[in-house]
Amino acid sequence: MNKVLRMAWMNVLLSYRIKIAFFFTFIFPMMFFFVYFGLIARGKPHAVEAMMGPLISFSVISNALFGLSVQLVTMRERDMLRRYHLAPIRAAEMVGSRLLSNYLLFLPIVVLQYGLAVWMFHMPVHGSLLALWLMFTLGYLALGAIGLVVAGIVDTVQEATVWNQILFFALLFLTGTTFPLVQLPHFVQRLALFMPPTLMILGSASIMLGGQGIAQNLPELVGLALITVSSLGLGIALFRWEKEEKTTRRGRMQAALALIPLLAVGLWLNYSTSFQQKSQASLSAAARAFQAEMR
Amino acid sequence: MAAVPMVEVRDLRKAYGKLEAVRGVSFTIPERTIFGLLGPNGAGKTSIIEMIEGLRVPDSGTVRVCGLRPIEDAMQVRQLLGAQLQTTPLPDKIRVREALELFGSFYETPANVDELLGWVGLEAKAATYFQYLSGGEKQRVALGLALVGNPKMLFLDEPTTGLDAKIRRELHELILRVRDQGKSILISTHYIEEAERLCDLVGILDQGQLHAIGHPRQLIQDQGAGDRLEVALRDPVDLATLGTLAGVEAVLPQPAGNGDGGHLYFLRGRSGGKMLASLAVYADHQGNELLEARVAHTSLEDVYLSLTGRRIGE
Repeated sequence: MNKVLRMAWMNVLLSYRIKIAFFFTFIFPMMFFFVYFGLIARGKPHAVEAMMGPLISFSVISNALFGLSVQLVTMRERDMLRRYHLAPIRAAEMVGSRLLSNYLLFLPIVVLQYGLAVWMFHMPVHGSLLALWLMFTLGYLALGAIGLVVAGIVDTVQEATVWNQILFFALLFLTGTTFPLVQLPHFVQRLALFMPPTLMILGSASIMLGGQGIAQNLPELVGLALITVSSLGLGIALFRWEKEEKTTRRGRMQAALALIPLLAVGLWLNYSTSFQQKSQASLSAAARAFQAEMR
Repeated sequence: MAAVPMVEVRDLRKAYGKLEAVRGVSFTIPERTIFGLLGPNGAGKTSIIEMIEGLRVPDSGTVRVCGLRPIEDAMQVRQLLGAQLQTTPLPDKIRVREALELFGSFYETPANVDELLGWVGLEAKAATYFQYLSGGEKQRVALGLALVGNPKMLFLDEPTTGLDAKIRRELHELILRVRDQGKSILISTHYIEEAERLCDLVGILDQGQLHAIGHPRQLIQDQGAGDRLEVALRDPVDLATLGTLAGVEAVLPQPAGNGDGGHLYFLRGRSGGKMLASLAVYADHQGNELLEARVAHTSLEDVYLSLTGRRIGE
C-alpha cells in the first residue's frame, strides 16, 4: 500500500509542476464552471443546482477517462514504465496509484466547484453530502477504470486519443452531460442508462434536488461499483509495461468483456420499473428547477 | 555445499521473428564479480540482460538469479537486483532526491538516500529537476536508482555510452567501488578499454553467441601476448606466406573489405618491430609497397577479432 501511496503522491506533485497538466486539471474545469453556471444557468441558484451533476460529469469524463489512459500510454511509449517494471511493483499497484493520484487531483476541484456554487451563486444544499461524494467517487472510478481498459488495447498515444475522443463525445452528448436528458428522445434516454455518467447525473440529481441519501440511490451506486470492479480487473489484466508488447487479438477480445457489466447494468435499470419512476422524477425535477429559474 | 551463483544462464535462446538474437548462451556469475558482455550493437547483449532481469521471456533455456526464476519469482528477484537501462526516462520535473526516495520506497531494505547521493556524487544536484541534468549526471541518477534497493546483483546496460572520456572514467571508479562493496555486476559494453579495465570476467559475444569467457588478461594470454601489426600493402599477398615471415606467430583474420589505402593484414608475434622489418624486406622483394603500418600490444580487441573474425566496431 505504501508503494501505491508514494507513487500517487509523487504524481500529484508532478501535476502541480507541469503547466499543461495543471491547466487541464484545474483551469480547464474552472472554465467550464463559469460556462455552465455563469452563462447557461445565468447564476440562478436552482438552475445551478440542476447543472451541478452535468458539470461534475464533464470533469469526470475528461479527467478520468481521457487523462488516465493517455497518461499511461504516454508513460509506456516513453519507456518510463520500463523503469518501474524493474522495481518490485505489480501491475495492480501501478494502475491503482495512477487512478488514486488522478482522483486526488479531481477531488479538490469538485469541492471547490461545489463550494463556489454555494458561495457565489447561492446554490441550495440538499440531500446527503456523503451520498453525493460516493456518487461522484464511484462515477470517477468507473470512468477511470474504463480509461484503463482503453490504455490496455491501444499501442500509441495517437490511438488512445482517437478512442478517447470517440468515447468522450459519445458520453458528452448521450448522457445528459451537455444536453439535459429530459430533452433527448426517449430511446436515447434508454440508451443513456448503459453509460456510467448517466447514473452519476441521475443519482446526483436525486440527492441534490430530491434531498435523498444513499439508500434511495443504491441502483446507481451498485451499477457504478459493478462497472468499476469489472473494468478495473480488466484494466489490470490488459496492462502492459513495455511498448514493444503490442495489443493482441486476445487482448481486444478480453477488453470486449468490459461491455458485459455496462450491458447488464443498462438492462437492469431499463427494466426496473421503480428505477424508471425515480429517474423520471429526478429528470423532471431538474428540468422544472432549471426552467422555473430561467423564466 | 557450493555457493549459489548470483546469476546462472543455461542455453538461453531468443528470436525476434526470423532474427536469432541470442543463440544458446550459457554463463555463470559468482559473487563479488564484474562480468562483462563485450560485443558490438546487435550482438544480443541487451536481450540477454533483459531476459535475466525478467523483462523478456526467453524462447528456451534457463535463467536463475540467486537461485530464483526471474519471471515466476519476479517480486523476490526484483528485491535482489538493481538495474540501469540504456536510457532512464524519468519525468522532467522530478527532483533527483525525490526520484531516489520514490524508488527506494519500493524495496524492503532501501539504501539511505543521503548516503547514496554522496556516493554517486549528486549531493549538489539533489534538488535539481531531472530535465536540467547533464548526460553524465543523468547516468549517475540511473546508477543511483539501480543501487537504491541495496541490490545483491547489479545490471548495467551500456552505462557509459555517449559519455565523454572524463565522465566515463568517473563512472568506472564508481562501478569498481560498487563491486568492492561485495556486489556482483553484469555490464554490457562495446568499449574494449571498459571491459579490460572493469571486468573480472568477460564474455565475448557476437551475433547472439558467446565465443569465450575468461579474465581479460587470461583471454589475451590465450591469444599469445605480444604485439599486433596492422599493415596496408598496395598489392594483395598470400596469407600462408605472411605466416612464414620472421617474427610472425599468427596471421589474424582479415577485416571485412579493404581500406582505401590498400590491402589490410593483421599479424601477431612477440615483437612488432621484428615483424615489421621482415615484412618490409618481403614487400620490397615482391615489388610490393608498404603503405601503412601500426604496431599495438595485444588487447581484447585482438581476442575479439581472432574469435569472431570481426573488429568490434564493424
